[in-house]
Amino acid sequence: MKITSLLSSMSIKARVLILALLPLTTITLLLSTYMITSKLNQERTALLENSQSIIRYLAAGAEFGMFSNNISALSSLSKTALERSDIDDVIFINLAGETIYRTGQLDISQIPLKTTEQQNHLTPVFVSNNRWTIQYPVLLAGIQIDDFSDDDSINKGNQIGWVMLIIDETDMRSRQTNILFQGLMITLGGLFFTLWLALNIGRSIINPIQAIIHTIERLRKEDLNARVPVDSKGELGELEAGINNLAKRVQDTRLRLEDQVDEATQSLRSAMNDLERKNYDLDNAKQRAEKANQAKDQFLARMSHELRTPLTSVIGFSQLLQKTPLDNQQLEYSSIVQRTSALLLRLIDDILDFSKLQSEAIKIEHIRFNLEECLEDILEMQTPLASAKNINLYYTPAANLPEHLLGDPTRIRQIITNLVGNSVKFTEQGSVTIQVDCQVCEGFVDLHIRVIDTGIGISKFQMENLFKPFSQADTTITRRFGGSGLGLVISKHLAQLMGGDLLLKSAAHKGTEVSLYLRLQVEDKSVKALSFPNYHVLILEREPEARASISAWMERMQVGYSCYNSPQNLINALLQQPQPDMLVYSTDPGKNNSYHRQLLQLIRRHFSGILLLLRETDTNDSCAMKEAVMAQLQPLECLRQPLTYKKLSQAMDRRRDHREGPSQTQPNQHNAHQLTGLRLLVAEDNTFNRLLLERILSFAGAKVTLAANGEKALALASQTRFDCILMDVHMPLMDGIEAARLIHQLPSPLGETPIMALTANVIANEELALKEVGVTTTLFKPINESQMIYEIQLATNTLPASSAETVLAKKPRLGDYGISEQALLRELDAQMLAIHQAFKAQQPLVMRDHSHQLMGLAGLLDLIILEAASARFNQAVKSDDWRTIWEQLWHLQRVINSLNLNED
Amino acid sequence: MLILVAPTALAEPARVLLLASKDSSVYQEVIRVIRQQLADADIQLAAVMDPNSTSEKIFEQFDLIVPIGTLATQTALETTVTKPILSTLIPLHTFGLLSSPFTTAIRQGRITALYLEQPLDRQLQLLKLLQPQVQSLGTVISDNSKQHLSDLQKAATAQGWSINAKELQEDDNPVATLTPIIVNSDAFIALPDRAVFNRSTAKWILLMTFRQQIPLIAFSRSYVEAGALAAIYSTPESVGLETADWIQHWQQNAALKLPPPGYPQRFHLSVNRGTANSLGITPPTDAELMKRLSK
Repeated sequence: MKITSLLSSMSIKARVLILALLPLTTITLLLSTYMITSKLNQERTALLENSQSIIRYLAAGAEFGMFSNNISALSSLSKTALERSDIDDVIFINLAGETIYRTGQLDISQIPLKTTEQQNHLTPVFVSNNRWTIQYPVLLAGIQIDDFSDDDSINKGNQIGWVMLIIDETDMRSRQTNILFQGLMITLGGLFFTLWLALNIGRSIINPIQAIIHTIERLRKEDLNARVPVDSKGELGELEAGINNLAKRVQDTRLRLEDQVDEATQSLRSAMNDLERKNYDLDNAKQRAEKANQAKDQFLARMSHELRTPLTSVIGFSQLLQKTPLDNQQLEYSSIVQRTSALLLRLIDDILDFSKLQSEAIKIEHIRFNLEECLEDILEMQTPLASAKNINLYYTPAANLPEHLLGDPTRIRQIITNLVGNSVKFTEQGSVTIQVDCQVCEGFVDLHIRVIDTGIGISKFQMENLFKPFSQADTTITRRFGGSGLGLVISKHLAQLMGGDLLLKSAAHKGTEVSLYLRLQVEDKSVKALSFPNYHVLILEREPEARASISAWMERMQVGYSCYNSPQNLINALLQQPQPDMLVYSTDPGKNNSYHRQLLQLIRRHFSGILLLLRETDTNDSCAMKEAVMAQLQPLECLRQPLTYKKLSQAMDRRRDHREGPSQTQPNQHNAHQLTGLRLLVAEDNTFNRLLLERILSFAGAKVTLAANGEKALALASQTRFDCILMDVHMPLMDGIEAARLIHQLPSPLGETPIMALTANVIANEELALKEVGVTTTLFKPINESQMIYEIQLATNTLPASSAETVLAKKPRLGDYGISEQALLRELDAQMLAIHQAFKAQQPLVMRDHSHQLMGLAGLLDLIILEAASARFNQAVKSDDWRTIWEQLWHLQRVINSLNLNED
Repeated sequence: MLILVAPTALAEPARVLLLASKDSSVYQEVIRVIRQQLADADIQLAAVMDPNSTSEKIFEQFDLIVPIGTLATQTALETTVTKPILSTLIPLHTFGLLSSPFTTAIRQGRITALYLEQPLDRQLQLLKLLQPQVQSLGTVISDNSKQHLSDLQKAATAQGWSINAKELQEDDNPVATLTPIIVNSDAFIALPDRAVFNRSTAKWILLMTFRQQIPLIAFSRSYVEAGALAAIYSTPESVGLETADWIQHWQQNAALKLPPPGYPQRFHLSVNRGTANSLGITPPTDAELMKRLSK
């Protein structure tokens, strides 16, 4: 096994050499050894045999000499033997062991004589290093003389002596040496011949095999022209020819395959070219389509803009018109114009939205917003319409709705506005209720917002087409109610885009209930609530929907309440129970004013607390009550359905104020004179903000110097030593950071003026940059005036010892500083006008500047939605994508419009 | 080995034991001839081929013991003293040595021998027939052949020849002893004495007589074939015939007495005609010689 594995690990050359050499060498060596040995033995044997022949001859010849004791005969006999050089001595010995005759002198005394019976006479006995002796008995050769040979004794006693030869081996040894030398020479020659033969044989086998291997190696390396030289005969020749045939076949096959591949490549290439051409065509077509789409979008944008601009004018002028003295007919026409224009505006917006939904251009946002405020805004917006149609609008809040959620407030507002709008639109009498239910889970809230109306309802048949675009329940509806028929479609699309859904339940002539299901992330689990400990409310409400709404509100405000559906029950309760903190009196539109006045006066006799007069839709009823009556009923708060947190909390808050002490007409009175004597520099690019800040600080007793940008602030700061500088971060020409840095580089004491930064951004690196330039404090918009004053006092070391507790989170009230809401709106409109002009002129820098001012305004006044819209617009301007800019601009415009409407 | 032969007649046939010295062709031939010769006689023959397998008890069963050869004779003589013994194929000198204690028995005819050798006078007659001019006859003797010498001298005297004889001792130089005898004789006669005429001396005697150109009369056919001129000798067949005669003679003798030891009557002769030619002798034919000798 070992030999097999050893052989298999050798190369062919080695194996062939072994195959050829091993037996040949072995045979040569064996033969040589055998030949030399046998030759040497032969030489020795020859010497021995010759000696033996000679001694036999001598023994025979010596018979007579020995028999007759004839010395001369023995002497002459010896001479013949002595002619041989290797015979040293011939000795004749008689039976008595006496030497009869000998030719030499060598001492032979130690050589034993052998008897006739001993058969080893001819065995040599060495007498010295190279001399040996043999002996042979001399016998008398008798003749047969007996006819009857049974008597053997007569033939005994034939030996008459011995012949002994002393042989010298010297010659033989020299001959043996010669033989050995010759033998070795022959062996060497044989070995060389063997080697030569083996190498030749090996080469004759290995060379063709190596040529084959070389060829195969070349073939393996793709050299298909490689061929084995066909030199060999026999099997190797066949193998060479076979390999050549194989190589040729492979080459042919390869060539054929290459041809096929070439052909295939050619066809593939042409196919590719074709494809490329088609791709190019497709690309062109796509570009054309995109261009067309863009053109469509641009057309839509332009058209809607172009339509909106005059429409805004129509609405604005019709509103202005209504404020002029008009007769009833003119007033009606004017309001028709206004309504129709609003409808048209909505229609344009719907078409725009739908087209965006279709092209999936709408991206859902995830920003922080307050759903309750959002809903209240919507209700506020819808109230005038509902009132106009004499429909009650109720809001049933969820007690556990978290204050801050993450989502797309714009789209949610859009959906709910649409739903409520629809309900109001399709309800002739009765009510529209917005009911919010929510289930708060870990990190998110499952919202179920229902809009329930008592309108015309929708039949099952009509519901099938309801969510198809441009399809209303009945074609007559369009004629009756107007609208694009896109509202529900858009709303459902948007709900689905936000991961929710929109479902509709309805029965003809009974009403409709639309459910919006949404799952939104919760940013802050806390529920916005004021604390009214031990607050108790009595409620008189006859309408079940209204009662449900106000009950929900009481739970929402976390106050104790008792609800009554008849005045009698209420009066009884008043008489029997301790005085409540508040009494909610819901005016029944079925009763006239005198009924209400008498009932209220009756109640007032038993109740000294605040009366909350909750009116239904009719806005004129309370006005119908005379001022004198109103005065009698004081303290009196008038609220209109739908109730909102803002309204209710303000009313209840006032009641508390009422209970706790005299009413504060100047809530920030305590701020006055806190900054007396301080010289302050305010750097703010926005005129409105500048004005607001000036008013707040002046009111606090400070002497205020104003600067419109960083450069001006720097110039003023380098001339006058101010006690503190308030610096808006984002300003044109030179921003707040740069200005602060340069002011701090001014010589002392000018450079040591403490600087406070005002910013709406809460960006970490910006804050870091402000710190690096040595800004003392960063105040975040919206401005908390108390905190601002506190921080100024802190920076100027004018802080009184007990003032730390007075820091209250309150946004500035414009009215407190003699700034009207109208002024703010005018400012907003002015900013928007400037932005629109910059958009038309394609001036991104101007747009950014104004968007910054808008952000500052919104931040200062805590207008979250406006701030978010401004920020998005600012981002859009930075992105340089005109389509996005356009989208965000319109979004911003709508936000500002809604602010306008709210104020209306 | 004992081979019993069934009795040939109801009247008490003589029981004869043929005792061979060994189981060889010579003895077998002798026994065959005896059997053949005695086939019709009233003799019950038995043959034993190995002397060591016999005993006195066996011998007791026979009337005559016929030992053939030296060993058989010796065994027979040592085994029995009561049965008559006819020794055959035995040299004269040997029988003399073996039978020396039994001289009385020999005299009483209970022990006898048929000698192997031919009588010397017959040899000399042959010499005379071949070389009539012989005057002196040379020979050598030993202690064993002193009886032969007296016989020879008697025979030679009868022929008128002188005997030139000398004793040859074992340690003598035979050539030195022989040379003067051969040189001084007209013919040389070899005596059947193995002490003197052994294979070596026989050769040298042959060579020396040949060199001396004198005829050599031998005692065996082998010697003639080796180069001697002529010889008279016994053969197994002749011995068998002679022994059978003797047995018959014994049976027919009423006293059952055996004759005294003696030479055989029957003989063979042989002449080496090559030698004769070398010696310048022209001998008569064998038949002529036989005829003359038989007279």
